[in-house]
Amino acid sequence: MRKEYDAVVVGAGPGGSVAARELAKQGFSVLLLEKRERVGYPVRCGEASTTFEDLQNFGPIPEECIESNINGLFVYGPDNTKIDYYKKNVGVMLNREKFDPCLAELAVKDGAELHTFARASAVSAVENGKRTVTIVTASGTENVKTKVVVGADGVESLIGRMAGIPSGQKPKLTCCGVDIKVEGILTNPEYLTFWQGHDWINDGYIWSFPKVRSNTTNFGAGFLIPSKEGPSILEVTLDWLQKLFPNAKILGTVGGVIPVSGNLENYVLDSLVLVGDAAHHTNPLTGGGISAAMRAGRHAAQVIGEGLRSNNLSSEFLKKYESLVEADFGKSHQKQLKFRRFLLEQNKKDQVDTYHVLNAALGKDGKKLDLLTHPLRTLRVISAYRKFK
Amino acid sequence: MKKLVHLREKCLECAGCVGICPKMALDMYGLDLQINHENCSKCGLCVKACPAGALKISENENA
Repeated sequence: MRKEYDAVVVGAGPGGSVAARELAKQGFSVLLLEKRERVGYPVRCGEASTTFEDLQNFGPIPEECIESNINGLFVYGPDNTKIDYYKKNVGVMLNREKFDPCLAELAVKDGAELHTFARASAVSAVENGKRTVTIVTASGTENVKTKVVVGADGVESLIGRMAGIPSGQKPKLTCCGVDIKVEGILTNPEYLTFWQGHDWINDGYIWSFPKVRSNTTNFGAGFLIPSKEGPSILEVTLDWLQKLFPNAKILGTVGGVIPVSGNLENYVLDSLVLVGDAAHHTNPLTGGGISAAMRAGRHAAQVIGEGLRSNNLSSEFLKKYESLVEADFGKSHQKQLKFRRFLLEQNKKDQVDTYHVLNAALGKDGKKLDLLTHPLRTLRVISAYRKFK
Repeated sequence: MKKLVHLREKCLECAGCVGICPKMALDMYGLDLQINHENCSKCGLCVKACPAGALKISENENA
């Protein structure tokens, strides 16, 4: 480790690795820190993501990182409603034990210096245009100076909070989840399958995601953090698995917490930006955040690159990064947040109506005509959504 | 005295508790959850957020 770098990136998940790589490609010295011993372990994710094409923008991504190609979504809604949405190549299932290391390797190939088992324990205020990052490794503690810190340290982000951004998770806007790896394919291998709106899983959803290459299924759940103590989400999910697939053979379990608040309002300071889950860049409806983190990582590197070249890493200048993110996916995440709140705050009857309308509009076997043959229902749902604040 | 307790055998190492703690009283390295008991207000938010039920507030120091 050197004493000084142009940029220090904390966290070698998809957002951090992309940011580090894109900065290194511009010729800057980049230190990429990962506190875990191995990049990508343990996975904390359901592993569904965007299309293979989208991912290749950050590649090359080898085929073996892709578990299955996804051609649609199936949702089992309340009262036997369903949405059967077919869309060819709508996304992929990833193998993140392969995918995350692959992105980190690409960063290293392009010149970033990766250290694993190295955690940033403190970030100083800016002094003479530089911040000092305190790094704890197996061999001791080191202080490294840098012109800019990229906090891509995930849902547990402490970098932002240590520097003064209130980036902690908000109890009512955070999901907790588990993902149980099960042998074999439990549901349609081309589809992501969901259960939502069933009594005690109203506050989120259960999923069954097929990983065809490894012949396993990610069966999991994510709910908003309950207001009272009760059974853990793991217990609830195991019950649900038992109920739906009594013979399922469990191979392992991972957990995770997901920000579903929509992007933070501010996530840059002088000489510091946050990327990915740390900036709450997750989709507030689906909880997905891989592609958003990578996009944010690239936007951050672009703006930081300009800043390094013009010797201006002030928060005013770095706000340009926030604007790029807002235009790219921030506004759409706000819409997704509104839709989630709309759906979850409805009573059962209205929720059922919403499902009927959604399936008529999107469903493979839904008849668009239904929207017209049930005009009152259609209008009721649309007008309720438009009025919803 | 109430005290936050980490049940290692149940923990999934997701570190969600670190992000949810309003007091920045938690940090995690591998399976090692470091609890700063002085900062911990025993609010129980991490207990509710933990997907695996690996945290609890114990009434007894030795529990």
